[in-house]
Amino acid sequence: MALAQLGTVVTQAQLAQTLGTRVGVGTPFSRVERLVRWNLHVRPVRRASIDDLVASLAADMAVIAAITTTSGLPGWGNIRTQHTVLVVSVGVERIVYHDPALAHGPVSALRAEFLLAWSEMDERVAFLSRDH
Amino acid sequence: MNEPKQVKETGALYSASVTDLSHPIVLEHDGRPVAALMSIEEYERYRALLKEHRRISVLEARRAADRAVFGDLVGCALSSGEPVWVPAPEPHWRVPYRSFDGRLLAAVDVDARTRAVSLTDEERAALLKQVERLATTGNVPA
Repeated sequence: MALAQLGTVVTQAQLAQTLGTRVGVGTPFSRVERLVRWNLHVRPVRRASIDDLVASLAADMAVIAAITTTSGLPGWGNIRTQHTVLVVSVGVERIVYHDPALAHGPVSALRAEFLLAWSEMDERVAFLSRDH
Repeated sequence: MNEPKQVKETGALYSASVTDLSHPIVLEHDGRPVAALMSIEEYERYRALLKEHRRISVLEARRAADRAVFGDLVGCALSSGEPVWVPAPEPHWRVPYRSFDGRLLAAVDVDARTRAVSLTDEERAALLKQVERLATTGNVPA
């Protein structure tokens, strides 16, 4: 999703191979840096702020946020696990994002609910942009 | 604890009073309470109470367990459940880990005082292997 947003077309298989994804086990978030192979600038940040998200979105970056799912996020029910979403917009009351685990999208969550899920992952985020 | 005795502007009184510590004794200086004397049994009971109350919260326990189990993994088909309080022999929280279809795969203990997580590298590797096996055999949505 994030790569498509930046105009890079990659198959799921290529992506999984590059990130070393294990089926069912997932991927260490830190491996997002490997996306540089597709001529992207990747900046992982821990303890980012909501203002960082807003500024990056305004600069047309792709924003991948690490979260711990909660029942307050669409589609997760009682499942609590570590996950990533692609943030689309940050509003006063709601945050809109694409969730790769959901068949539809984008979806939105209450801002407070999203911030709680994000804080459980130390506000980790990766900002992606085209490498000029 | 019973109502404390009070010893005001002590000197000789002090040495006399400590022979009976069936009740705590409050020492005063210039009219202000400055210390309390209690029997060693009461003191040990007090320390045990402090220890008991110094336990980590259920949220902290689950967070500690998640950090140990997931590390910085994202997209793992494993869900942490509500921790269960286990008071003895050592107080700890037990955090269940289930596959997305609800199957219990592991229970991880978190020491309620030290926050230490009882999960070895080998146990973690075995757990993730189990999740991978379930996902690749199509039993669990990944």
